[in-house]
Amino acid sequence: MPYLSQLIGKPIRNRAGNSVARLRDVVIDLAQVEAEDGPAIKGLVARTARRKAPFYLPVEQVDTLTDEGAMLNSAKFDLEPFERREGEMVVTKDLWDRQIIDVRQRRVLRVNDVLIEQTPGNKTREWRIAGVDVSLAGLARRLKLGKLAGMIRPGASQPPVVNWRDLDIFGTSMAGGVGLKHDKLARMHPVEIARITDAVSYHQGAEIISALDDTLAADTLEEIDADRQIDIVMQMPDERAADIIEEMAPDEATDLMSELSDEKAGALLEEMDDEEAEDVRQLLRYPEHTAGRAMTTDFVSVRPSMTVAEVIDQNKQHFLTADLIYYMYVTDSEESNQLLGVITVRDLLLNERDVKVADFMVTEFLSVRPGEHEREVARKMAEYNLLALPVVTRNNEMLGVITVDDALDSLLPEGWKKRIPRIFS
Amino acid sequence: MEPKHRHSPSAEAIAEEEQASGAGPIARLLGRMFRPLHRLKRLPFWAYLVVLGPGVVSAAAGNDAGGIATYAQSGATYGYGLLWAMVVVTICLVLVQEMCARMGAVTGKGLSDLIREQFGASWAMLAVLVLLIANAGVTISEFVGIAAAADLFGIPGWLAVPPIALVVWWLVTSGSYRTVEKVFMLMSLVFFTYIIAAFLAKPDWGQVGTAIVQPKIDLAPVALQALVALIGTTITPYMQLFVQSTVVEKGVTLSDYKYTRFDTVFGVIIANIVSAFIIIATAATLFVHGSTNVNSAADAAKALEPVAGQGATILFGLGLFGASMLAAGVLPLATAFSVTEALGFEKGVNLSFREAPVFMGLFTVLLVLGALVAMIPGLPLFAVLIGVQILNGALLPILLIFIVRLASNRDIMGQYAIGPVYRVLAWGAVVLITIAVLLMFGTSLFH
Repeated sequence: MPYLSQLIGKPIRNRAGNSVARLRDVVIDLAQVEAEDGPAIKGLVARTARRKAPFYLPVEQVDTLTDEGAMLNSAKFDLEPFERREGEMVVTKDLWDRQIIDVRQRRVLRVNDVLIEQTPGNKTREWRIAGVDVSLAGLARRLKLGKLAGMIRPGASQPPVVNWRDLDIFGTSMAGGVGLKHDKLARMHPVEIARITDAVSYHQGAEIISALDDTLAADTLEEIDADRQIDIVMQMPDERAADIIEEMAPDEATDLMSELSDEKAGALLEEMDDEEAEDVRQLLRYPEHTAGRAMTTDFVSVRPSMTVAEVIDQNKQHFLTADLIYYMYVTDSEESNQLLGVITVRDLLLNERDVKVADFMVTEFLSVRPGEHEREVARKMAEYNLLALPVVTRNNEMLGVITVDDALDSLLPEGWKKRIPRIFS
Repeated sequence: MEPKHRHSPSAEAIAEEEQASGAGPIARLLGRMFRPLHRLKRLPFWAYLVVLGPGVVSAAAGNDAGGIATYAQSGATYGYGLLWAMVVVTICLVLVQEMCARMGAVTGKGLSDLIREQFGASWAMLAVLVLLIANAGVTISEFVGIAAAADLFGIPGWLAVPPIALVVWWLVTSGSYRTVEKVFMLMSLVFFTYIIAAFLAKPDWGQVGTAIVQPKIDLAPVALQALVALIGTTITPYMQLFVQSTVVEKGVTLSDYKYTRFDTVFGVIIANIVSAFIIIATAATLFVHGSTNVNSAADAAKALEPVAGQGATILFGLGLFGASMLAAGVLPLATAFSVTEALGFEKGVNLSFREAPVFMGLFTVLLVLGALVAMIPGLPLFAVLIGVQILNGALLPILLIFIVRLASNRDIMGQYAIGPVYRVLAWGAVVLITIAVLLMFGTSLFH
């Protein structure tokens, strides 16, 4: 199990045991980068003492590969000059010193060294990149401070090698690397992915978010703070960005849109589905920090004439997707949309299936106006222990719902969620 | 496509509510104008000019203890003799800072990250080592500045420094540093008074003008040391990393880079104008009266007498204290961040000693080192301050070579890599600075 730093500079011997060249690098296929057990080594880059130009040795000609060097399985070999090709990764350039995501420990680390393992089995000669060394000992090995490397004991908090199956690499700044699937990221919670996008450059952040599926991308984007959101959205093609924003809660999408330039916001609204775009346009008309801006237009509404069974059956799909389903709002009709009362999930569970909504709905309820300040809304919620408040016009027309988490945001001081500033990263 | 159950209020309802909430077009326009500062970058250009203040303030506050000492010494010893160098150094600084800010905006990465990714682990370690040495030196100089300020108020350094070091440590680790930072910044604005002092001292403006445009190169070792100190304190190694990481931190990208460029260049020019006036003020007060050596803070304070008379010492002491405190917390912290990051340890002041031993250890060691050196009895404070700047200047070329090579690399900078003319200028700056450093070493050895 040699590390790449131990291989480099080691002799490559032919069958007769004569050293014919020295190892310089290893090459892997970009298509294999997301393989579960790690990408197989495709070939070696070597250099002879006489010639300056490095040449390429396909792995098929290699018999053994240890920290002593490589042994070839034939006496002859081609001195095919090495050229970097599209779709290949040159490990010392593209993996050493690069950032990776450890999806298991949920953090961004830098590669100090690369671990190479022979695939078990007698017939095939195959070596894989099994993992990357992120330890200080690995760095010391790279710097040829061998003794120091032996002295450093791996810290308890940091396992020295991250297995390939637990890591995700960035394609940004790698030739032909854009378009990695980043499947492993889906193992993390949106909050964790958001934190990771904060620890890397905005290009890398955009790469990650673009690769996620729409829903996860939207959930993640919602967790990122406004300035970073914009940097990331600006890096994406409008189409992709619009797909993701469609999946965001209307109030979150509106916050994002309001921070973008008018041109960009317009272009994105153009790309979005009409219905979602319309929601955002509506919310954008309310000033910042008001209930109208913070509310979501995605809530469950029912008619007073419906029975419990009808409420449940007709809203199945909506119960699955809406942010808040504990409260349901009773309105007279889709058109005039007058708010008559509120019912809760508890009511649905406790009442018989044929009881009508009008019989148990609460008609004395608190509501807020769209122009009210968020802080006022939050105060009311705290005082009355509510999860959400309906937002209605002066004429009692139902506009939307403001939920407790959005209202609370306004009470937190600016930048509260930010951790210690990253000064040198 | 799942069915959506969203509700759209009637247009009239919205129009009515808009009126009711009083948010007409004017209110909304005002709301846009008075957005929090971190959204500055999305404002139109004219709005940016109006609120330029912060950039200028922080640039001017960048004149720390070492800077004041170096400029004052230069003015007292050589009169206007090094003013031409200030012009050259300012141009170099503009180039270097612009390159770093640009790299931050284009790549979204810090300088040490780029060095590591582009040049590999060994070179990155060299850069880290350079930074560690330079920053340890500057940290020492900040505590020496604190000791010197205490001295002005009649408190011996060995008595004042330990409690202040403790307070700084506590402020940083408890996260309250950002709150008090502004007070120190305000205090350091005292050095703006050097501009007034310079005018009140009635210098011979003809001489000043000639000195600015006419380079006078003195090959004496001491003079070359003064020159390198001037370079080292103006183009500090850590400032370059700081500029780039601030750009990254603020989330500046290519689309809003032009404002950042303006801010960077303008800030550099303002800061160096203040520096030049420190030289002019000390030259017009101390040099012309034959007191050509600034050995202590009290000497340097004399240059402020035209402004403050008897109060000059107090004024200078306050400024020196504020400027030193400003950097005394930030510098060890920033250094600990970059070193631990380059080595790949857990970092962050919100972790405990057990969780991030290397980070916290390094931060504490730097602070203690600075404090201990400053407490040495009988230490020639101003000589140490200037010595540290010479060290900074000598280490600078190493970092500059990395910066220019990165900024001209098309693989990372794409079409925003610096062009041929810019490249010639940038390499010219590196060569000039390197020559100055080599000359200093050469003449010092053979003298």
